[in-house]
Amino acid sequence: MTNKIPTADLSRIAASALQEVLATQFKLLAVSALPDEMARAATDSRCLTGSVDIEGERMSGSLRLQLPEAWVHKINASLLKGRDAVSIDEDDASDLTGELCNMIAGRIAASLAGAGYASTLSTPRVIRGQPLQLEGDAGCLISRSNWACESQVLQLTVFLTHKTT
Amino acid sequence: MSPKILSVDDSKTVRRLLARLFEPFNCSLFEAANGEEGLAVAAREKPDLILLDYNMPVMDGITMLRRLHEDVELRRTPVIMLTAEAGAKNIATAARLGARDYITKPFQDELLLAKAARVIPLVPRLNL
Repeated sequence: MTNKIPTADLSRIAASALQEVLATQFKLLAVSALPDEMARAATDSRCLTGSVDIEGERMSGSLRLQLPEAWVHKINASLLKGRDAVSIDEDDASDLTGELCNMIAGRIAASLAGAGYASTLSTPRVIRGQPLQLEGDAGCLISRSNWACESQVLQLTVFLTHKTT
Repeated sequence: MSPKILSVDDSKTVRRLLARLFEPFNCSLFEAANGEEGLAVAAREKPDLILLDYNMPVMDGITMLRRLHEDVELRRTPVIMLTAEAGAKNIATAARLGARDYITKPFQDELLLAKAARVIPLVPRLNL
């Protein structure tokens, strides 16, 4: 029998997952955002928000990743650097956002599985628009973190609810 | 004849990462966005290696793997699973259906190249 996951552990798992995905797959460094960076980011109006549900027998949860549109376009452009000119469209931006969510959720799920919480992932969903203020249900663990990367701020929120047996 | 690699992933981002990774090598890369497309391309091109995602719309990677396993012409095609799903059950299922290897995303470029090189010759492309 395993104990419930404390919020501090969830935050550590989420932080490690985001940093590992950005560093390994995109060669990007992400560090905790400073208050003035977060204040600047709050004025940016356009963003993409991706989400993936994490469902297991002993817990359920979800991940939300909020990315500035400018950041997503910059990363997409770098993926195409040196290749034939291909226009980057809105589908490309959604695809990148969804895949980042998928990889981060995969790393989080792997860490949770190591603590006795096996789970499966949903396919990612992505919406476009104004930044959202995300609230969790009563009783759920919430990990929120803001990350500075390539002069932009990325916001990662993970919700986790233990199921009663 | 350069080896053929088939990348089956619903994410265009991942297909781009793979195209960029294998571009310096003398191989031909084919793409499909789901298992159904993947089977059609595999039947047509007879790839030397398939890189296969797990969760995809239309037909998932495990169903495609099962169909490959049942096809007498394609059953010996080496498959490396490349997926964010790291669950032990998923890995065991893929192994039972004949997957050669299982790599979780995010993947290390060097690791994927090393595993691919065990299956196909990866010769640097000559820029003349």
